[in-house]
Amino acid sequence: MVFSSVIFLCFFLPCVLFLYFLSARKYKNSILLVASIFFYSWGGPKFIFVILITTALDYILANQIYRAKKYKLLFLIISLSLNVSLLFYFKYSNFFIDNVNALFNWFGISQFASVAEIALPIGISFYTFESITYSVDVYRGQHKPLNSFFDYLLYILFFPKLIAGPIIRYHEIEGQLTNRFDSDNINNKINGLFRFFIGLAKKVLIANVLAEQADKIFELPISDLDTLTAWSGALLYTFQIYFDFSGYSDMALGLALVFGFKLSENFNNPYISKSITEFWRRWHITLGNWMKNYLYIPLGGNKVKSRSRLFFNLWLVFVCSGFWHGANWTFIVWGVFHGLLLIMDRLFYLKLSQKIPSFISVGITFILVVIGWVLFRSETISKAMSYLQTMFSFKDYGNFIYYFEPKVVFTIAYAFIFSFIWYTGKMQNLQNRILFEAPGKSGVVLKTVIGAILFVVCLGALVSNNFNPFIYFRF
Amino acid sequence: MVFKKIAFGISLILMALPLLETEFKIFDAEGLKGAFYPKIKPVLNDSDWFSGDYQKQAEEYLTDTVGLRNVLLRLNNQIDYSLYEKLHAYDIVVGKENSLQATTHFDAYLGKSGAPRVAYDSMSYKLVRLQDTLKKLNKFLFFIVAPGKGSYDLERAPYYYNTKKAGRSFYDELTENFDKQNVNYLDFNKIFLARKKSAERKEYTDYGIHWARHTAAWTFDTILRYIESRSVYTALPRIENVSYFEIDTALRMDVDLTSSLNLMFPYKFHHKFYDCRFGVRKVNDDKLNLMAISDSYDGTFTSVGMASHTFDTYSSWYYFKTVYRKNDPNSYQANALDLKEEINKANVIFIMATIANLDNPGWGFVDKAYAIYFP
Repeated sequence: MVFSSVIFLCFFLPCVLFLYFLSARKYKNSILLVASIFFYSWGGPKFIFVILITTALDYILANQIYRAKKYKLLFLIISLSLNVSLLFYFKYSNFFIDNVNALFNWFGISQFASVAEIALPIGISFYTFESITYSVDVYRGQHKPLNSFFDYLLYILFFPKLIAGPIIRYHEIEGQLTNRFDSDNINNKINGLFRFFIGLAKKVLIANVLAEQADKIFELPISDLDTLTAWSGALLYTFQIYFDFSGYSDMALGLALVFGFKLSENFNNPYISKSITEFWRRWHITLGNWMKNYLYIPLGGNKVKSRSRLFFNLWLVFVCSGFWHGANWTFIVWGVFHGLLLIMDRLFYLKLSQKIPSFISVGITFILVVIGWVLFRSETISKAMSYLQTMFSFKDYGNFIYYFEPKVVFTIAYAFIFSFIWYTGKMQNLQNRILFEAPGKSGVVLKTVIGAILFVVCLGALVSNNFNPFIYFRF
Repeated sequence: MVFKKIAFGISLILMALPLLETEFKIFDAEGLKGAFYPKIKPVLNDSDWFSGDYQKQAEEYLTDTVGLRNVLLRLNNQIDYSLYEKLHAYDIVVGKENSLQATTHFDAYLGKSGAPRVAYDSMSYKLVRLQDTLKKLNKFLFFIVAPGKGSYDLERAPYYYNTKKAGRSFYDELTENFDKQNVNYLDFNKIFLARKKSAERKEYTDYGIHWARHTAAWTFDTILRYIESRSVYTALPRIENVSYFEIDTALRMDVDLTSSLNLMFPYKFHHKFYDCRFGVRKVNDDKLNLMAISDSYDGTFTSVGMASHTFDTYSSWYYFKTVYRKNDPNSYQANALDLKEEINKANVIFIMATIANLDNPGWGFVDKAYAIYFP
């Protein structure tokens, strides 16, 4: 069940909201938990058992980590192994076997193992990372384990963030699970619902429209591509992935706020970044923070002896980050590409970018990000390379206009405007005021009216259009 | 605080409206027009639940039956049309000069429609043998290629539609075979394109898929002259004094592309509508019977009256499926009729298909008729 579906918007969500608001405080978490289990079961009816069992094991292990005096590390290793193996088995085993087989084949040896197609449980990359934060944070003594298993289950399964993040570290939500009702006020509910509608509009009115065209272009045989079409496809995908993923995050954050949870922000206008370093502070922020806290810092972080080790650590984190996105060499190469760009930032670009006009550094960063998305979007490395070659080969522009009917042209314009309009400090302040400040009377009216319009328009688009895939569900 | 709670409550009620409408049918919304397949309500069972099939079918069913769907869909269609000139009806697009066009017609003309469903060489061979056999029985069988709006109005395709020829079209292949094997056929595509520059009025309606009424009049006269030139029927009636005049309300066939747009408000027409007058001059009192196997393009011949004024009896075999007869309000299933008897009754038989329908010319008539005469 995706947020931008009729079943979610017209059936599931109204029922959950009414039950939640009409019930007594002591039942609210139970309602959210039951709703979350149903939500996950709907999309992954078999995998709900996997998630329930591993969550129970993690809960027991975290309690052992807290209570044990001698074998804390052992219990932590067991917990980490459980989560990493789960992720490896479901997400990477096919990839691993394929590659080992290819290697064996290359050496003329018969295949290592046969590949049985393993289905990927939705949201596995997100909830395994969250489980890891719970165990590690307990091990580090950052907090005590939860008294109630059901509260822990709610942390893992909470449906607004369950299948596509943001990745919430346990200590960020710990207090809210048991006592959020003082901060649970009407301003948060209005802002939350408004944010949900904004996210829905980003997904349905922008990302979906661009996705259809981007797919058409990326599915073209390379021989049919010309330079302008290739750039158009890359730009369409660049905007699609941003409005898709940030739209989903807005919906998740907005919904959570309606239920009284304040989750961490996941995006902060990434395309106005002046460097790749800044881009990663603005794009998928919760993944970046997770990688920093649970991989980069354990590797030594900035406090390593040599510069080369620092660069290696940085690069390795981005290779892992790329691999986290999917079991395909294209994601790894995308991670390598970003890792190298970050090293170049540290070597010279951050200094250089301060000397050039900021709009130029924004432009340079944006183009580098676009190139990265081509690697990310392509099915194979060779297709990505051919696609990139076409982008820079200045091949004639025979067909490109034929992909853009007026709706697409306008949607690209909206995407461009809503990506870059926040470039100035004033506009960023305005954005913060709209999203986070308690609204006055006129603000309430505006948010209610705009929210209602966006909801109705999006619902109209959804009932008349079945093309509605989410990109981030496969990660 | 109370004000804020009321505003939030309104938002929640708005979100619940489709669900309430699904359950209680509060509003009486206008139905949708056009063809679509209604989804079937799934039945829950263990295997479908665990395979995810139940969820998939339930989502499709609920999306299709959610309360206020018709209103929401019309609203979406209206927004897309008003802001972007985008229509949500299969195959229909807004072309240049505010005309409505069908992309299947463009695609067919430009060779983008894939492979035909019949082998043209074998069909041409059968047609020739049939036409020669029927000729001996004083019957004239021939084929008519109707151009279709896509070939005639190609320059009015939307700017984003690629009008470059993609390959050989059904039309190219079929006429080549007809020429090779000497099939009797009348190529209106050539005639229309030749007349195009000198034509006083557009031959096609702006909002319909068919040719205009005055076009049908001269077209039918051309058919009669062709029959005269090739058959024993050398003194057929003449359609004369064709003139057109402006009318206030559109005739149904002239605006048929607007019939399933499902907009919130009525479609706004930018062009005027025309009807036509014509006279029929009979040369003799021969009572002839016409059998027409055609797509909807011969509908104008019957609805405007050219066919009924020029032939004594007339049967229209719509896609070789449903048969309509002159002065008979009933319709008949083609496969329920005795084809040999029907052919025996006819003096003139034509198969007419527009270019978009040339993937399967005759819709099975040729094979069936061939089987009768060459068992």
